Amino acid sequence: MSSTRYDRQMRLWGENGQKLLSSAKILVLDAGATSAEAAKNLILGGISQLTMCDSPKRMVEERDLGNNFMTSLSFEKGDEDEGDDDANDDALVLERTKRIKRGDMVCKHLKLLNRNVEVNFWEEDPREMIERFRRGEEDKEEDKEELRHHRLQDFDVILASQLDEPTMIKLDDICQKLGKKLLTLRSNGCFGTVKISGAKTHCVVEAKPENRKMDLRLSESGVFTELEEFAEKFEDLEAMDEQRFAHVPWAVLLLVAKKRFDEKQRQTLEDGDYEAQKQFKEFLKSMRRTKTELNFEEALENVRMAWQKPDVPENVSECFEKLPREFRSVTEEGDGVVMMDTETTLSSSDVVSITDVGASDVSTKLFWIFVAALEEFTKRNKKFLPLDAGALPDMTSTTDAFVGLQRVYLEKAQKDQREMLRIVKETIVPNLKTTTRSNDNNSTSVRHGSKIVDVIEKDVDEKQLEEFCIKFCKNARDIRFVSFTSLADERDIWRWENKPEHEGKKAQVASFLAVDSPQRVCAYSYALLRASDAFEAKLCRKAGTYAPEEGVDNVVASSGTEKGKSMLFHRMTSDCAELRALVTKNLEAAMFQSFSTSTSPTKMDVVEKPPSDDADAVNDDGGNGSNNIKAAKAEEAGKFLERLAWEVVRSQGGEIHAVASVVGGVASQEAIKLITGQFVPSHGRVCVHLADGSSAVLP
Amino acid sequence: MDEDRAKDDDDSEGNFDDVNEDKNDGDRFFCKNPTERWADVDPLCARAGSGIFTDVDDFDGEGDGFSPDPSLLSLVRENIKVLVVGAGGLGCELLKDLTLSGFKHIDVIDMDTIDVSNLNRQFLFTEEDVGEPKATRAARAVNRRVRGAKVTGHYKRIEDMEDNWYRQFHVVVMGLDSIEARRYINKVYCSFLEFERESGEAREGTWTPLIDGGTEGFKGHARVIIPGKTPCFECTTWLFPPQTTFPLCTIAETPRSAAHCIEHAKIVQFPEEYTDEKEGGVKGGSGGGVTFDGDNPDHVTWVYKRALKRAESFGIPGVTYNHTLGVVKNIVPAIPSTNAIVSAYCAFEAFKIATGCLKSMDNYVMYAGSDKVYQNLMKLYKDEGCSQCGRGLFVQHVFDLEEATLADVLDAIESEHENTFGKREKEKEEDNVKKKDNKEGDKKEKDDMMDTAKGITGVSSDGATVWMGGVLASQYEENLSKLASDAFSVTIVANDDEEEKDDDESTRNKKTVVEKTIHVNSAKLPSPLRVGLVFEAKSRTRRKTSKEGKEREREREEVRTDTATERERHRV
Ligand SMILES: [Zn+2]
Repeated sequence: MSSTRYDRQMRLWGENGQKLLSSAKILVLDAGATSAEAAKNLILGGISQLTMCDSPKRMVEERDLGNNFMTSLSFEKGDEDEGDDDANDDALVLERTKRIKRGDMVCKHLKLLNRNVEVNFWEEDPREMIERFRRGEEDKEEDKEELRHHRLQDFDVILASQLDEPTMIKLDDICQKLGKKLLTLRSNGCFGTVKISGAKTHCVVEAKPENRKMDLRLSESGVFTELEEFAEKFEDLEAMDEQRFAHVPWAVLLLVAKKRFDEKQRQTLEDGDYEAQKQFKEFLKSMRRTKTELNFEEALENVRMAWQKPDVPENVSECFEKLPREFRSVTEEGDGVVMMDTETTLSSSDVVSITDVGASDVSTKLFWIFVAALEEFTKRNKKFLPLDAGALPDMTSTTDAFVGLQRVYLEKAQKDQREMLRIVKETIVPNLKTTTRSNDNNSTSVRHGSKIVDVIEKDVDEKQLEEFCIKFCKNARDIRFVSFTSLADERDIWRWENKPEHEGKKAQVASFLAVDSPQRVCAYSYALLRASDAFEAKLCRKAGTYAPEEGVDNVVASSGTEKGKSMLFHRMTSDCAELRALVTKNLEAAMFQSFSTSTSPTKMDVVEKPPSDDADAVNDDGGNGSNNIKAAKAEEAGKFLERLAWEVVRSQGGEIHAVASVVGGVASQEAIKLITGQFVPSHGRVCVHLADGSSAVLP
Repeated sequence: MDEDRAKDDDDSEGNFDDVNEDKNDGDRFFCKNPTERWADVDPLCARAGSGIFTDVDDFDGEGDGFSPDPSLLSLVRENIKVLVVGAGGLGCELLKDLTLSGFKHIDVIDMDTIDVSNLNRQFLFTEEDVGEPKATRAARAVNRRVRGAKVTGHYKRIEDMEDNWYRQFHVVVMGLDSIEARRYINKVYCSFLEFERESGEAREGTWTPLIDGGTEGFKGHARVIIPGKTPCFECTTWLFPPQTTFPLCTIAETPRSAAHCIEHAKIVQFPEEYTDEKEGGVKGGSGGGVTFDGDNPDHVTWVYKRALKRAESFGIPGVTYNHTLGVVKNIVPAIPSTNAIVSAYCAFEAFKIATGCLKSMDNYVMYAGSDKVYQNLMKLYKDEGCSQCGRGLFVQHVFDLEEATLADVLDAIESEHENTFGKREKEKEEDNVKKKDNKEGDKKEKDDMMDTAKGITGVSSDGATVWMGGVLASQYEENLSKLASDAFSVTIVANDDEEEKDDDESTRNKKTVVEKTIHVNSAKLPSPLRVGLVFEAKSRTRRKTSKEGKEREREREEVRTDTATERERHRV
């Protein structure tokens, strides 16, 4: 039953992914539309448990019924009967509904979605809860009895929605300490955004890219002798009948042809040698009999594979670079050879301990052990990664030839897997133990080094280790390491503070803010979202909302009076000005500059600062012409900011259902990626703007 | 309280005669204070935009072309009818999103029943609903949850609905998983298009916005189509990669993968060898026995077993029941979160179109979530020679309403085509060569089949067969001498008060001249063509007598039953 129910998603993440999902415990802070949507998607996916934290003082309001599908007009009455539509009755029902806690109602509706999932309501104001956890252990005595059993560390992933920036930063700190992955969600008018933080990193073995790269190993002789031997069986092409001739798999054809070509031409094909490629193509064509053989067509299309050199893809070498300190000593002391590119790019500050990369769980520790082994493997195997037999594409061929070829690749892949396992057992683990003993001057490293070894020796059995090895080898080409910016760092970047470590990210942000950037709507909207939080903190109301007694119709001058209309316009305009003032001066300066790649962002952010701060600001060496262009661009950017602020004020920061649904959808996709360890979660801030359909992933 | 309600009812309904009279629902209650319930979306209707999303330069707080109105949302609620095509993963989300965007009158159509494997994302259904029709169950669930929603479910095939049924909707949102169904809906709404004779522009009011969503795994897209103005589905069929089909000789002689074996068991072995014990040993095959049905577990198991046997004999690994199911049903992976994203985009576009509060997305947005998050807003371009939304060929020839036969019309089309399209045909031919590479040919064939099924007027690909609304393809000889006006249901009404549904737009403008747009498929034409014809009543204005009407209706009925059997044959 349950495997049928989840069939359509298990075709994406398989049994293993579903197993991880079905044991996942999720905490969701807030029970509004955005949270409810995210929760809905995760519950449908079949997680183990979902706990929703919402203030017990927050009752269902009428506007919840307009934007949150997990609410209804009186739950007790609502879903069961449909005939009773009397309006008077409705009024009573509404009154009764308004006495139900929002969290309670949302949880009850969520429960109905999937009876396999446990749904709990944690009755506490999320803000108070965060404060409580921040105070930490010593105040535990004061905690209410009923809240004691709720602990953040019991959850695998935490989602928090509609919290203001300072509160989210506090929560992020807590999650970082616990090594918990946090997803923060916001829906604000037509703008929505999702960001992963908390744990600093995430490792992916099964990235499952859409196009797996073929690694056929046709270029190097002597590395894959089994394939060469297999190809020899086909050397006598001329003796074959037409049917067989036209069904020699193209990979074999290339090998046979290349051998003949090399002998005949007495030259080897050089990497990227266009002339040699051309000649080889002609040579291949000359071997055809009828010019219509499909296998030759395929071979001609794949000629480049004949000298595709082994390479370590960028994502893999990035993992090598990030190899934690404990392993670093392993590889450096192991045989004294360090990968060239790692040595040059590594500064000591980049080398972190395994705890810094969030390696608290078994699979992360295994990941790093195998990354270390992989580095060793590439060194021993001319930069080849373990073979992925599954990437062998279909080729025009007889059944026998293709099945035989498949077997050759499969056997090679298994051989590589065995070698990897041997490296882990015979090199990585012993070395980790050695460093544990010898490397006394680095006690933390020692401690963690032995902890990592524990994984192999205690946490997983032989079979599990082998399974992981096979999985890792199959996906070796696509392993990923994703690191997330903390919310506090992100805040500093967007405040445009002068921190040298943020310069790179600031330059990226600047490019998003540029006048011609397609991501500009989202980048500006995010800046305004931060400003709206500051606005609310300062004025105790959302931008664009006015109390009725202020004489402004909250929505518009519905009475139709001109006075009401102009009053609203006046108030909205002044809210816009306030919002704009809350966009920090430095950021605004950055917005108003059109950054080109040649100008450094540090130079830009000082434009509106007092000259004493930076002498560069005075000697602006641009001519008058460029100044005029700059001024025009600044004016355009100012106007843009003003108008976007108007849209924020217009929407009153409402939680529009469609936006909530997109944000909840994005967040649940990301959460699933984090839980299953498959596919690649976004490292940045995902933004959507439904007003024009634009989007961005901010750095 | 009662007084308040009465007063508000007046306010919200005052100017409209055609509001739904059936108001004994929760909406009546909510109307008392619409701003409270819809506080999150209402400001967009009630407050002016900045112009940033309407490309207006002069920003003064109200002048962006959109006129805000506090009663706009209630007007939309009462007057806009939305059609949701498909009540599956996207459909469920769409109904939720649309009702919570303030839409009230929604029709949903789906021919499927609920399967257990739907429950991971089609959240309006529960285990108890398995086997029940999706459309009606989804409608019921939403009506129960969202007070005031008036969702009507239709457990029907999209081909079963009349043109006039389709005409009642103001916005259409498609939540489909099949390209063919999308093409069909696109075709229906494109066929409503009329064009200005002078400018060649689509005539105001003849288009219905179509919003299309689609997902596959972590990927999805949403797009807005204004037929005649922005690229239609047919303009951009290149977006969909050709389906991977294996050559029959590979399957039969040199199978190399599990899928090859499964296809062989399904395509070759099943029709020849399958016997259904339950049906008393009926043999499969073209002899009228059993046709393979992916939903029948007996059939799938049979194919699985045969495929496994075949694979073993060839030494091919990987045939599992699950894989078999995936291959024979062409299963596309689906997850709730992607559906949520795509549907919300679609629903919000519908909201924007209905209220005008923000401009429509221009015009295709994609979301890909498997490798980080990749989103892209793209502008697709119209194919000016599109057979569906293009103006097509305008036949200058004026036909005598009472004299012209179908043969006359066909002659005129052919000669007109040579005159005006002689040059273009060459370009088209080149295009066709390109398209053939993309297996466009297969699609064309299906296209033709679809025409037959619906009974749209046209000429078949052999150039000799004629079919039309109400007349069978096989009787073409006879048809050629029929009155064209009958074949195309052309009538001119004498005065304004008599409503003629087929052509009311054009008859209102010109009393004696009727323009009729038809679709023509012909081997002599480079691609299926939209043809505009002009009919003129030479003598006295012709009236549709009730006798003629009945006759036409009878003919239509005939073709409907005929095409229905035709379709059955295709499906079984
Ligand atoms: Zn088109």
